Amino acid sequence: MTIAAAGISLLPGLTVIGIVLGGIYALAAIGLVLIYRVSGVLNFAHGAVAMFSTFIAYQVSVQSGLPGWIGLLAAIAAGIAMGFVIERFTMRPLTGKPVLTKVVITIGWLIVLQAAAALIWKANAYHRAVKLVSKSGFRLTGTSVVVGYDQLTTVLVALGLALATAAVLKYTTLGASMRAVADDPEAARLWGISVNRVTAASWMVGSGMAAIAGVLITPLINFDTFSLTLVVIDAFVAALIGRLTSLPFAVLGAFILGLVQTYPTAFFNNSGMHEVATFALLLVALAVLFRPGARKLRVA
Amino acid sequence: MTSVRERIAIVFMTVSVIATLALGGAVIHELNRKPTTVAANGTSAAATSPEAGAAADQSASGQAAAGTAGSAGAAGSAGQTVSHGGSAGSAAPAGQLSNTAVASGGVITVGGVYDETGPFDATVERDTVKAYFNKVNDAGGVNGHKLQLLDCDSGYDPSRAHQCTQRLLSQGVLAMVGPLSVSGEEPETQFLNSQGVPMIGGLGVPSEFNVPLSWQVTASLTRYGTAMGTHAKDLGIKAPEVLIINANFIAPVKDAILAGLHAQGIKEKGVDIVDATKPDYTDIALKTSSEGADSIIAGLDPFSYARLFQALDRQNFHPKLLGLGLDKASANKSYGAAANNAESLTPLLEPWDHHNDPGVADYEGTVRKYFPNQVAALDVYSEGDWVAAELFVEAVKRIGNAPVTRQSLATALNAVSNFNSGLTVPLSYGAGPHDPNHCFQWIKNQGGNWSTYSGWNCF
Amino acid sequence: MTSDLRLVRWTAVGVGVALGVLIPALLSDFLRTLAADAAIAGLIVLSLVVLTGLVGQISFCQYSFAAIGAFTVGSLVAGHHWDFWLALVVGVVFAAVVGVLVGFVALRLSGLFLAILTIGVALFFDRFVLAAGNWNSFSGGLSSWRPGRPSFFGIGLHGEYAFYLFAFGVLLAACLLVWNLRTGKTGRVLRAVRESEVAASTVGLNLTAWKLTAFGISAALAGLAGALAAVRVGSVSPGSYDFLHSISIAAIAIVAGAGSIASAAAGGIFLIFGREALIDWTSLSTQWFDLIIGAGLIFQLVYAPDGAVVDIERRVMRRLRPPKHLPREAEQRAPDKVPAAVG
Repeated sequence: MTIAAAGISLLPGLTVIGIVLGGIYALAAIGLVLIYRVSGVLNFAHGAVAMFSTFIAYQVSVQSGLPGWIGLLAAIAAGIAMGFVIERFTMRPLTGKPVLTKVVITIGWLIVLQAAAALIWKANAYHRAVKLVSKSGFRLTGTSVVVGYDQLTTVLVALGLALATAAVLKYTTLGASMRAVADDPEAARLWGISVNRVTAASWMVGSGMAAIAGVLITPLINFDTFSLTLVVIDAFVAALIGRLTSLPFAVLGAFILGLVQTYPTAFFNNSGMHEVATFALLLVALAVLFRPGARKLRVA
Repeated sequence: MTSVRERIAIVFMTVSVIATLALGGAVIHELNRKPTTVAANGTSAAATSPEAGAAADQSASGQAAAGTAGSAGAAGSAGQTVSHGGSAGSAAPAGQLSNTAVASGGVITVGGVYDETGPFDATVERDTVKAYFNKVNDAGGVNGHKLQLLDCDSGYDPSRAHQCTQRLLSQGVLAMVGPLSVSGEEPETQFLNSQGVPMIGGLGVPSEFNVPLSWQVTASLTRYGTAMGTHAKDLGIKAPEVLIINANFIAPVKDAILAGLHAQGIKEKGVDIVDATKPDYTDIALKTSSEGADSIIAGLDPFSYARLFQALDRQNFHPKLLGLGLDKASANKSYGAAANNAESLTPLLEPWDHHNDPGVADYEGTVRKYFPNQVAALDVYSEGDWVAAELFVEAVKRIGNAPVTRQSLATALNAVSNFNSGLTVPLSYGAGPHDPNHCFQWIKNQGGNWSTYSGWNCF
Repeated sequence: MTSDLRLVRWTAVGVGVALGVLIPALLSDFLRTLAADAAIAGLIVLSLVVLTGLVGQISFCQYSFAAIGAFTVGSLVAGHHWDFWLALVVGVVFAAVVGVLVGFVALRLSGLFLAILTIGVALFFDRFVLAAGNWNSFSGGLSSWRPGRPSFFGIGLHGEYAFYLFAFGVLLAACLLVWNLRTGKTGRVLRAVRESEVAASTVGLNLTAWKLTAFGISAALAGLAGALAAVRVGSVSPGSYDFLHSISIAAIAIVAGAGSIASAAAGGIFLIFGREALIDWTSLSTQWFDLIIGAGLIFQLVYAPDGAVVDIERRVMRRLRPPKHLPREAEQRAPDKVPAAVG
């Protein structure tokens, strides 16, 4: 492992790359946090749902040649449908069971969706991503980096969705019901809130967001059946920094993670160092934010 | 309180365990009996001979693949003594070649292990071999035999590649034709050699050129590296960044590229090993430009090339680029403008600008006829497998009306000399390990199309 | 347990061992290879039985522990010409140490976060420890290690049947070890931990030590499986030990039922022979096998949370048990109220 000479002069450019990467993680983390907040289930299938929805968009827009936005709508519809199926048929029957059982079921969904997508669209054939935003870009003043409009869109949509979701939770009736269910399902039931419906809504909205994230992220990464799942696992680390419940902190965590993964490039010729950084961040987040005696979390 | 029934049960269990252990020991003893000489004149030897295989495997498995074509193995000459020693650095001894015949007029079944699922897509290679066989079968077969390819999915997992090899051997395949199992190719080549199973064509890993029962048709990956390193000087490259994908078949390429560069007095600016899943190459682009590298010499997969080109394009940074395996049609669609002026090389005739060449027309036309969806995915490896299938059929033709056995196939293959595949330089074989193809043509991307600008350059 | 039940159990074990030794003697080399792979996969399922069935912890990084065993054997035998048996011991100890380290972090975490931690560990192995360019003297860098097969007290393990018997013997010994853990005092302690940490600590159990022990044993078993796989295949490369392998084996362990030792055999056989049967009997792609595993996991957790093997065992037991023992049956069933898979 050699220390690269280039070093410090690259930092401004790498900061931009890190923020773009952070935008990707933030986008992936938002739906994850929403589902976790309301249902207490960490959805390991989130990336798989995003991937499968994105393949629906690919089918509609690239294979059938319809405009990109129709593909996006189809993907969102598919995401919402998957969220509904997962909640209605594999989560609701387990009401009252240990949360970990439900989490393991989401891993089952991860395997199923991945294998199904591989069967339908081939695990390895080359897939062209759905094109929504132009790949051209502008040179950021003060750096040597060109930022693509598609990358900028990812960051802006991530921030926008996070703000919108936070606003919905805070100011709307549905949001209030969601918070009530999240805090205490029994009390919510007494207040006349349909816990099942609110939980289903969170899964559907969260999975719809996964679809948006998938369609926007795939042009920036490898578009196959597995890469998106791995991106979402990185997004877990971001969400952990937000204690899995706070949207603003999850978004902040995403940008921290993006930068932590990018800066080592300035000093090491090797891709390995940013994995060490990611793993260290995961350990720190788990040890500090979830230590026994940390602020009580609603984890069954 | 132990009842009578429980005692009976315990006695029963003990007896069964002892009996089975004794039986098992006897079977092991039987299997471990090592014959010292193997007479290859029998007419009814088993399809695979575990004894000889096990013995030869022992010497083959410990060896690094670095050996040069030193002491020749026993391919092709009957009545050889199977060597148990096998000193490091020499070619692995071949296993016994079976004389079991394929019934005349019957079907000749060959096998192939391919990464059909996972990060690398070798279905196009499988289908290319199948297309060639279909063509031959539709024309009446070879000497009255029909050809059949049995494939098995190794899923980019060497453990599954080994299961696949065993499966195909148990199905009684005559030989392996055009296998492409990225991480399992190296060990399986040595295993097949030790089992006395001929292998024709493949990925191009070192052991395929070091064992007597492997008949390759394209240049080894190591030779790619040497050619790229040497060609860099012709291209005026002075300070390249070397970019290599993190896949274990490509190690010899990296070493050979660096050795080739150094032999030409070129010092690389840096060597980056990137993961196949690396999402964004902007950092590489930034680093390469800030280091003052004038070029990138790359060995990546098509998907990674696409993201590299995307990043270079966006950063408007266009260093000279020399890469292996760039000319895959389906991938070129997404390479965009950054691939313009990219340089590559091929040990087989470049299909892009030779569509009307009879050899290329036959290759492309046949795949189009039987597997139209695979035409866009054709690449240098599928082209190599086409030639491998041609070579196999040529050897079967030469066997004539004699029984088709592993022994007669090996003899026929070794007798092939100056074989004109239509896509490569003439290929010649003989006893011992085979490395018949030393030659590349330089190709260049212009406006999205690849064109050849040299004759054969041999290394 | 009544003598009738013991009778059934001992007979079943005896017949199982007899069949396990005899059947492969009649099979082709190909099927013997698969049988050895099944025994190795069974060891990894067994390592999950220790963790999940005994202390109610979950792990999605068992193949990373296996990789420690495999790459230690690979680098020491192929790279430094060590004796296999010495390398095997080093690999297993090394795996156990890493297991204890993971367990040490896991002590502070409950189920869900332990799952995240183990996934993090698996990905860290995939992308850093085993990735070329980082620790090449361990991972082999861009080429794979090629360890040869050893001899066992003078008997060469080069033949497929000999190697299978060896792997099967190791699996049986490991099963015996785990069975001892379960039924002895240790087992009762560990099960108490699984049922209720509070209850366990009130009776004065050293929870920390037991949990770490379980992690260590589990990782050691997985490392042992990896070391065997290294010489079985004769080649060690990261593609065989990635995160996807880990989640598949966890899924299979849960489907078979991580509460039972018998599920180790069942899980191993299903993982290896299931895929081959699918290829043999149908023309479907191997992806269908993953689909079946995933769907099986979902279906099983929703409808039969204890696992298939445990379910069958219980049915057999119930049929054999005389009615007067009903209260004891209820007592025995009680621990399974909490799904074995997810404590």
